[in-house]
Amino acid sequence: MAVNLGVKVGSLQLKNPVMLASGCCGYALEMEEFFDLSLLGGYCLKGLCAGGSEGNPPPRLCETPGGLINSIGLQNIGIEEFLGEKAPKLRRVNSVMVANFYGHSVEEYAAAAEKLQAEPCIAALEMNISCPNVKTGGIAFGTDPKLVQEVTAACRQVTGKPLWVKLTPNVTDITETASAAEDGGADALSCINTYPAMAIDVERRAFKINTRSGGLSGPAIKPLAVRAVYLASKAVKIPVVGIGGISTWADAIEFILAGASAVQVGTALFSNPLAPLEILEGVREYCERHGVGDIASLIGAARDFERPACNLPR
Amino acid sequence: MVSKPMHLVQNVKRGPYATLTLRGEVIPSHPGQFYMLRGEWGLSPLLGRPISILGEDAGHSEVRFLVKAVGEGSRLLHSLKPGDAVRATGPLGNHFPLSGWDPQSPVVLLAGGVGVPPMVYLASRLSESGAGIVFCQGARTKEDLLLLDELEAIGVSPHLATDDGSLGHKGLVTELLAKELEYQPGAVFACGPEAMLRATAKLCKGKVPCHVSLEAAMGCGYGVCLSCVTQVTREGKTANQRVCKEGPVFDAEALPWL
Repeated sequence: MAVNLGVKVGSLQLKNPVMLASGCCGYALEMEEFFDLSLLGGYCLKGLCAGGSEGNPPPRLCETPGGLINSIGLQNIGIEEFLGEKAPKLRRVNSVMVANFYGHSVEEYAAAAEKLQAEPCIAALEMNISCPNVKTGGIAFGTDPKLVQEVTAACRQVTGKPLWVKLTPNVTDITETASAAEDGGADALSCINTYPAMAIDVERRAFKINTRSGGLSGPAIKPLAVRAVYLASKAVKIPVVGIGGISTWADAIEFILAGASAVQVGTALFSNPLAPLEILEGVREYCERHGVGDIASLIGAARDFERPACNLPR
Repeated sequence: MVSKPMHLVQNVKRGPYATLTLRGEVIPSHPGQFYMLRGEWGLSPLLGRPISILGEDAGHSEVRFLVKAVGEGSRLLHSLKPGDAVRATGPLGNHFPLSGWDPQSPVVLLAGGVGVPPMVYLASRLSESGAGIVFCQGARTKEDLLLLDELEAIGVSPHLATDDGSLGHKGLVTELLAKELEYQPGAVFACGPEAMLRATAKLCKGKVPCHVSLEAAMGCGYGVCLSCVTQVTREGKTANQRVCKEGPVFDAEALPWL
């Protein structure tokens, strides 16, 4: 049975719903050592800012049950070096490239969006207002609906490319920030970034990462992320891209059923760089097994069922 | 590099140490490179573990590692049984130089703890090429000295140092290095505890080229997560570099923090 795996995220056509998440695939060239990027629906580059950043001092990472806490601090080569050195090598990749970006003020966000505007290989911009590991910018913009709308609108003004807004789950009600981004002119929402988290080495009585608090990712946050995607996608008319601990095909399908138009695979890449291909194959098999001719018909489909599934632990 | 399932064909244990042989399609490596290894152990620990290559067969079907059970992940690797599947991503990282010094001069290889396996791999590769090798290994006691049989098999007689004097020189392995430096070696290569690397770098500074292999907490091992960075100074400029990608082997002079 032929399955149409193509999905639309706003005006953008993706050949399938599996993407790579920002911060987990570098500038994508690293992933090409493992597989052909054009097999995927798309990929989101490491968060870029004007002038680049050295990030936070190590240790930057620790493991927790089913997850990991990171505090990289958005180390990046800068928009200028990206455009000069990396972008020319990415132009030949036949897949949707999304440039994740951030600033430390509304003006810096808009200036970053403007700088990325001219590069032809960038299909969409993903505005990062949700990184928990930088002192200014990042999450500071993502928790106040007014600021979310303001910074979205400022970037909207300077770019004609599709504008995705990556939300933080660290809010009381994600529908407020989701709606604010929509009102500001976002074309899509990326849900979600990491959860603020902490871990302490009890033997050494010391924090496990240098900045003490970092961002939790991996399978541990998946149920939280599914809920965030469900709530956000119900609250807005623009598409939602699901992110948060996706490591199997079933995870991907779960996010789509919750309301995601596409998904991003992040932390799973670390332990298995081929995870996105395995997820894609599993998604295809799922559709065949369930007689789903068009994967788009699954987007938000769980919301149509009023009764829960039989759920006996076995 | 590739990432693929391999399977364990042999696990030879000695105390907390295990020499693992994995079988599968092996991409030829160089000494100093490593793999990310992860068994099928569910969601925790989530990440693979970076383990240096001890050696590989000529037919490119087997690769060997030595792991020490010190934490959750390494304990699980230590307890692998023949037939167990292991996701192996590699070979990763850069490697020790295999030339570039006066071939008339020997090179000194300095090894301690789990830094011994890559140095044994380096010794085996260098001895194949006919280079003169002085191999120095340090440990707490003679029980903690590693891979002496492998060194013997490649015809290398190591200079040994133990803290308690139970075998070889009583004291630090870097005291052996200080002596070797009097004979003006062509280069010094080291892998081991940070204190050992620090003393090594200090002894070699301004006298002889010195390359050290660093250990770091890694997320991915192939350059995307940026967890394992260390500060590297070249031509007066200091910047973060990835231990997994630009390293793990660095010119000691570029690591002023060491």
